[in-house]
Amino acid sequence: MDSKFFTIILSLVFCLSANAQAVSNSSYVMDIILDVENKKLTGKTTLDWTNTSEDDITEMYFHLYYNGFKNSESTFFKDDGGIPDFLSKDIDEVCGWGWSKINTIISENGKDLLPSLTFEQPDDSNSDDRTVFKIILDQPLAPGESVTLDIGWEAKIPKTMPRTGYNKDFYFFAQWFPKVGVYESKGIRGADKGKWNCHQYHGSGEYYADFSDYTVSMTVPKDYVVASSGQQLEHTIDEQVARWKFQVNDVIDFTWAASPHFELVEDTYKDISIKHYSYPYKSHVAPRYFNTLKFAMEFLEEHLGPYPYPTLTILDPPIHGLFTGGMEYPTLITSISFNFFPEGFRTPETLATHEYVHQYFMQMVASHEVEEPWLDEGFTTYWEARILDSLFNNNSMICLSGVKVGTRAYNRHEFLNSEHPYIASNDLKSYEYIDGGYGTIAYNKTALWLQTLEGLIGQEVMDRIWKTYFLRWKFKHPCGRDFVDIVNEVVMETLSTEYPSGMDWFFEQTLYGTARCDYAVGSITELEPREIRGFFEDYDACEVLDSENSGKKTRIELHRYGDMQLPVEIEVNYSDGSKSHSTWNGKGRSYSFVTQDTTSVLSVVIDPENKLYIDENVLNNSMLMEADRTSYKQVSGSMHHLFSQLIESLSLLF
Amino acid sequence: MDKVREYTRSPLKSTFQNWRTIILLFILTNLLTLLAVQPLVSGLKASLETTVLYQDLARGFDFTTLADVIRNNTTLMPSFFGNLGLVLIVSILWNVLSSAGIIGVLLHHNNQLSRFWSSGSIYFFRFFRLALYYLLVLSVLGFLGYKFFAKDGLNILQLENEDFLISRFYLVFFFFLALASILKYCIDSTKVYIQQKDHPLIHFDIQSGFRFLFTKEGSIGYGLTSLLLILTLFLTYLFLQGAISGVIATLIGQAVLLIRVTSRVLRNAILVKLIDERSR
Repeated sequence: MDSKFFTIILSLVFCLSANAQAVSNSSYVMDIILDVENKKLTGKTTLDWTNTSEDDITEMYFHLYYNGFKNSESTFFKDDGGIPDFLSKDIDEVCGWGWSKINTIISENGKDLLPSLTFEQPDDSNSDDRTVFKIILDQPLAPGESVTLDIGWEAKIPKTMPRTGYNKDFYFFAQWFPKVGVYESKGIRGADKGKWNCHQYHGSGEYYADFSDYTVSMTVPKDYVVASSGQQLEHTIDEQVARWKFQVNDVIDFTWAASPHFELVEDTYKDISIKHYSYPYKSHVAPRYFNTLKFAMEFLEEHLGPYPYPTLTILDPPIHGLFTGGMEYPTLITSISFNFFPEGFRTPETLATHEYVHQYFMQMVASHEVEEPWLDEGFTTYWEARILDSLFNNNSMICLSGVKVGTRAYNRHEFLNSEHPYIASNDLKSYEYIDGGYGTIAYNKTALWLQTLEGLIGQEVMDRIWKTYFLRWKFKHPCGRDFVDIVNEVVMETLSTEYPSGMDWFFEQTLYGTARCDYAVGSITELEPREIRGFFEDYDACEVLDSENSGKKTRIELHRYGDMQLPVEIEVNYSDGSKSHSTWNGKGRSYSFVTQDTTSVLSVVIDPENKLYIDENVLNNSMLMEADRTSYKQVSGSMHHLFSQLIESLSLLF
Repeated sequence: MDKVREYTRSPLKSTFQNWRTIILLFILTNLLTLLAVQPLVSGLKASLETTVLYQDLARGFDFTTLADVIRNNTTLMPSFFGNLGLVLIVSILWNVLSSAGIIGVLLHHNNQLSRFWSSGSIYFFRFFRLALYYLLVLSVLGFLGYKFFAKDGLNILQLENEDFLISRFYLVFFFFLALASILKYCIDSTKVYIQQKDHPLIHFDIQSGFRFLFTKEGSIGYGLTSLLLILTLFLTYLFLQGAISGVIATLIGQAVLLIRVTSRVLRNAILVKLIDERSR
């Protein structure tokens, strides 16, 4: 075969596998006009949607997210944590409420379907909520058939809502256009029959969508710069306005932003163009984002698979647009940085990494953020910590004047220190955490038990699980059970001796349960040598034999204070420097054993490699035979030094 | 240069002659420190003494261990801060008394501790009043600084960018520090005048203190005492930077404290010398 031809074929195969996934069942062609005077968007959408199910479809459900900002009665506003009070005040000052309105929905046959439009409230029956609507199709859509709808719509842009809106001349458009829901065929995510899945817009969680191709043209004032999902196809300027056009395929959403002040800084990772948009006074942060993102891209490429899109855009909003920061959108992420933060606070790196991981979990592996938030937020938090702790050597959150905090350690602290760490299990819908705990349970607790799972089964097996999960569910809609099944499958294959029936017992306690985990060393007691005495061979002579043996015996007692039952490794350290290791199945409330050695026991440590990351108290995980006076003196000496300087400094005032 | 030598030689001599006062200040500061840190030290000891984690904490900041100590000892931090507050109040009172005592022994060229205690108690309330005035002025300065800092509002939704706030913060901080230092110098001069003139009301002495700042001796004194202060702080910073663990760290810490206490006496000795000569 001609080598040139061979190269072309290879390149084609690579391109097909890496970029064009061809998984979309719909396409959006949108023409948008941004009216900055009246704070309005006018849109024309041509939606092409294919029925990939085995059912006849007679109706279609759509999201109309912007109506979440229509008034104070929407579910978004009524939900706990929907919007902070001071944002509400800001909205009221200028009537910064927003809405979205459908003007026409024309089918292929030229029929206007608008009269059939009704608003639905599948989650809470809140009749004031207008974030989901349904239309009746003019004729049923058979399996494999497509429908094309021309939708004319307009939207009033809200002022500075979480994730979207305008402030001054900064505009950010997230969840901004009429978007079709997901028709779940029988079997998808455990569905027993085909049905539409289209939740109202809630304060927490937004993503669940099919993969689509987007071609979006934006007409904006001519001095405005547009930062957007996807690749830029066009940028033309006439006397009054500028026209920008972007395209991206096989994604679950499309987002863009506009401002006359955006400055672009670019970098690349392999063939991927990384674009950083910010106001000029924040451009100096770009290298920090690029360094972190390139590390994250390489890390995930190695552990999961390559990032398949040609662009990745990171937007660092200005301070007055802060509430749009720290969010994930397909091929576009937003972060937050402050010039008054020293570099030791790694907020930009943390957020950029977290949002980038979402490109895998929620974007490529398109789980349901509203119904199972742990599947993307929890997974993302786990990977964020893994990546950042690898990059910054466990100082990834704060590294400032000797104060060092790693992301993983901080996640643990955030969960355990929260008001309600055990108020709910992990498997609730995002809006069901009515008494709190959404963030700490969906994000932090998931990351903790994933870290614990990794500790139990080892990183190699864990990596295999992740790769299997990613490759099997890439560009599909998995549910929690799918992940659990893959864990069981891989564990039973690789660790059949240790865990012959899989890990359901683990998930029952962590994912579906609210048990606490706390193992402790209860006591270490040196036993006195026992004399063996009484009648033995000679029935007439009462004897005292030598002591039982020459070794030293020590009794070690362990406790389980929590209800979670996990296997625990035990390390016993001896005075001659030797160690012994054993395992306790962790099931009983207490467990004791006796060691016998020629030297004395120095200390006992349970979980010495910190595998049970979910253990809520590390203080009782070890015990020394003798108190550590040296460290006590060092620590108290340092504190004395610090406070003596503080007290002496009072003389500067008095 | 001769002037500088002249104004430092005899104060240095009288500083070292007052070694009893220096030792007293050093011991009292250490005692107050012991009282301040005791609940925290005991709490850490109770939580960590029999664990292998104490070693990690002795090697440096350990977030997980500290977080678990605080979470599992819910009374630790409240009792520590409560105790620290009390110790700070006692320290403030002690500082007021000791500053009067130091000036007393220097002004009367009497190195005995009885002079220290008697001056301290006689002038305590006048010095305390002076300290309150100083704090009041500092509060007003701080308030004005804040008003300037926040004059365009601090609502982040209204801010165009944060850079101007950062510049403004540095500006306010610099001016506050400069004004507070100059005022502190006047206050220290006033303290000498209070004991020298022995007026029942301190307003005349405050005026003298301010007037002194603008004399030749005053400006030399200001330069010298500021230099001493900066040097001491710099040395402290250097030592703290290299906070080595163990006995050496404790010794270095004690040495730094001793230097700071000595420099405090020396600063006052320079002022006493300058004001004494001017009054003659």
